[in-house]
Amino acid sequence: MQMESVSLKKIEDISIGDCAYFAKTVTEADVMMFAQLSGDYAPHHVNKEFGDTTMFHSRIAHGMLTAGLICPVLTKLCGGASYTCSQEIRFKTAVLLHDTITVKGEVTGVDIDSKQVSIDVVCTKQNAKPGDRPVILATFVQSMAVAVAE
Amino acid sequence: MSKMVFRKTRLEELKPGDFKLFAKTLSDTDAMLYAGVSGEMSPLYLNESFAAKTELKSRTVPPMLVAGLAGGAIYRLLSPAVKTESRTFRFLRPVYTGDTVTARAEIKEVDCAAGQVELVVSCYNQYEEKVMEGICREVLISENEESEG
Repeated sequence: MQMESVSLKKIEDISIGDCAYFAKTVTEADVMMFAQLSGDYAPHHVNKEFGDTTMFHSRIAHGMLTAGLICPVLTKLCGGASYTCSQEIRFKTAVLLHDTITVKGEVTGVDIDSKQVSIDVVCTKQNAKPGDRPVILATFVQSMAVAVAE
Repeated sequence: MSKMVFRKTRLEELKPGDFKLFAKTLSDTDAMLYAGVSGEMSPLYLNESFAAKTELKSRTVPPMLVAGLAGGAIYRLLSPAVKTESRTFRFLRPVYTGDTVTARAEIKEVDCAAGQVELVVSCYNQYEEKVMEGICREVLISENEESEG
């Protein structure tokens, strides 16, 4: 019964060019929870007065909070029994409170032998126009090598 | 005044080899809160019945949450106030719910003129096995124009 609610994929089900999306508004609650989760209470994340004095005129979200929004896309592309082996993330633009981030993931490589999938990720903000700087550019290697008992 | 002063000179006090540690037990609560923050609902992290049927045997913690602890160590080394430029991580072992992870951030290179710092980050579990390693590049946040001077 429980297994039916879990969406699993085999590496043969995944093709180069497969795309998935996820979008979320980053709120103050997210930033405060992430500070607690990560231990990163830097003032430009948690102190409004301090944030206002910075070049951003606002508090900004933790980079790894925004990067976390990529995870649902990886799970959509590779299914529930995949995990991340390695990642390279470049942060191009700061995320301010209340920004809405859209994540797009696209499969760029499938290696049947090593059961690894390469995924290119781009994260953009609300109202992004073609040619605007993205928020994040990243590449992920996702492993499908988790064995699941029947 | 609650206003903090940007300590740009502090970069000059940092040298390669300086490091800070941050340790945290990654509890059930953390896993559930992280699901809410990130939207990551993979059954490997949230569904004990499913996780028990995999070779991992139990729920693991999202690698990205483990990577987040790097921020805790970097904050203790560099705060205030730096912004992340890039992070490259390799995940070496699964981390299970209830494990205690120690993140270590060590300065590799400081470029005072550019306001940039490169760090080597590694995370260890309670058995002192390395679970993650990576490189982080951070850049100093500057003040806005009105508050200068």
